[in-house]
Amino acid sequence: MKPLILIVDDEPEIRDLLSEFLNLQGYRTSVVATSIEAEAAVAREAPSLIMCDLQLEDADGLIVIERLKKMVPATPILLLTGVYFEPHVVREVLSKTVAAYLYKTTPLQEILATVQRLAGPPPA
Amino acid sequence: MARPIPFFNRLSVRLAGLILLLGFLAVPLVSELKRRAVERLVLQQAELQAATATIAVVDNLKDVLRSAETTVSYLARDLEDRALTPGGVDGILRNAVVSNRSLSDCTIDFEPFAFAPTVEHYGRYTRRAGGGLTFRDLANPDYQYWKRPWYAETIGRGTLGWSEPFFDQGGADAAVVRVAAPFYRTVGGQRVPAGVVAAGFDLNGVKALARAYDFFDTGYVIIFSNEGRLIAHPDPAFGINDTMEGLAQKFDQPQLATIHQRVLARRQGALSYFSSMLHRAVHENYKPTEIAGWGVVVGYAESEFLRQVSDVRWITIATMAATLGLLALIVWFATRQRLRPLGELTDVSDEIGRGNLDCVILPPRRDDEIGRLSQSFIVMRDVLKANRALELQVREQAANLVIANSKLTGEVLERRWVNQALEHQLRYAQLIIDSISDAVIVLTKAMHVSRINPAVVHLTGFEATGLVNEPLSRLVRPEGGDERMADPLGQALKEGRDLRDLPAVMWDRTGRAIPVRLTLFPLRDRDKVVGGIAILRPA
Repeated sequence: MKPLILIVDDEPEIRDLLSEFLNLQGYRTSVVATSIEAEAAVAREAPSLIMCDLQLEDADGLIVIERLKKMVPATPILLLTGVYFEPHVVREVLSKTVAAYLYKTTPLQEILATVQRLAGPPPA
Repeated sequence: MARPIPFFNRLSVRLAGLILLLGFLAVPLVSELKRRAVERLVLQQAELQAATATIAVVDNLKDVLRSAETTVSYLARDLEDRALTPGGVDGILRNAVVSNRSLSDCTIDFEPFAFAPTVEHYGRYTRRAGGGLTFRDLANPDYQYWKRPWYAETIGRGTLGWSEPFFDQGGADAAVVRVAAPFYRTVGGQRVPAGVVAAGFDLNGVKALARAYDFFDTGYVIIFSNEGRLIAHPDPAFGINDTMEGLAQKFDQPQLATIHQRVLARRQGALSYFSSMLHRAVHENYKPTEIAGWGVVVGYAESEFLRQVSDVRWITIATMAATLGLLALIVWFATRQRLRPLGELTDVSDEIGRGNLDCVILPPRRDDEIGRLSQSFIVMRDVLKANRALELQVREQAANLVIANSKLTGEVLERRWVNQALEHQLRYAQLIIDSISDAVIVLTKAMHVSRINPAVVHLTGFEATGLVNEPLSRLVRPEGGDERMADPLGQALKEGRDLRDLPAVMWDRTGRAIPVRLTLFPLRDRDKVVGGIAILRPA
């Protein structure tokens, strides 16, 4: 079974682009725009990785991440946001909450490397 | 390595096997037909030989019987009207027996007083004994010839006649047959019987004659009398006391009675039947002797010839089987030789089937079906090779296309991602600028307006389209300065210095002057000033 990646972002272009890219790389994806949809998706099937934006329409990303972590503690969470955090902030603050942080301008190949590290490689 | 064709699947073997099978089906049929034909032919030959032998036996027998008849007839004529003395009678008898080797005895017997007026009965008899002759008087009281049936019957018959075989007790003391004829004298102008002359011969001579015919291994001769009494028979147990009818009844063999009846009717012919007496199937030719009313049967066991036919049959079968085997071998060998190219083509097809298109196909040796097939194989292999090369080329190009497509897709996705990231960043930056309540003006290095936030629009009434690319001095100037006072701002920007909280005047769309506090920050990109940001707050 292909690993399932849950993409939580309120921007449809980003959701679709990420989903298309990860599908091409051999992953299954589930895309949602809101925290409520994200919780419903996690309840349906525990994903192998959650990619979450920081600024959602209905909630703050970090709060959503906390709720999702309670639901699926074993699932790593990647914070993918356009908000730039200084490295020391990432190291000292965000690393306690998420498994990884990536700026949204990060090239797709680097995002893929992080996804593979956290969710495991897709089956051949 | 081509997978070898199982031996019994090879065409040459199957063809040879088919010939053998058909042959083994046909051989018994042909053999049986041939056996029947040969059997018919052999039996016909045997019947012909038996018929010839029958004629020979009958002829010989007739010679013997005729010589006896001739002797007796001659004596009867010789005795007619002849005056005889006892010595003369004995002399005649001696001469008759000595001159005719087939005669065993001879007798001359007179009617009462016919020999001499003073002698009532006179009869003389002579027979062979110990290399010589013995004479006897048949008028002696122990014999009294005139009381013997053969004498009375001969006088009564008045002509020459043959007796039935009998055992001549007191005479020859052997089984004999006698031919007798009356002789006459003229008395008072009339021929009256004067006596009987008779001669006989030992039937052992006839039996010897019958045995002398050695034809076939199983051949035999039966001689029987007018009444059917057996004069000669292959089984020595049967003799003159046995008759054809008696044997027919005893052995339930009606064919014997039939033969006798046909001979009596002076007919000749042949019969085939199973002889329960001889315990085998026999073929018998029969023929009357025409003298003495005798009949001759010459027979043989058909099995003697059928055995030969059977031998011939087995020889035929063996010969045909050997021929068939040889033929199958030749067919197998010839077919194998002729089909060898086909076998090679089969191996080639296996190789091609396994994908080996570099296999060697021998060029056609002859312009026949196999040659054409070989040529077709060569063409097929070359076409397949060309197709394979084309397929490899297409596959390679397809793979390259897939790679290129994948790469292109990746690049497109990456570009889209970069674009969206940039757009996002721009939007985010614009959002930040737009969210500031102070009027913010983004400047180029030449101090022209490149961007304003909504607070500028709100404060001045100008739309962005009316200000972009306009010099900053058209909108705002340091307080107390004129158009030339713009230089301190440009100078500070050029030098990369900040100007903070500088009193200035800004003009709105209506030309109204609005006092503001101006702060100018140079906009740096890697230590290089690329523009500036002016922030205006109402004073």
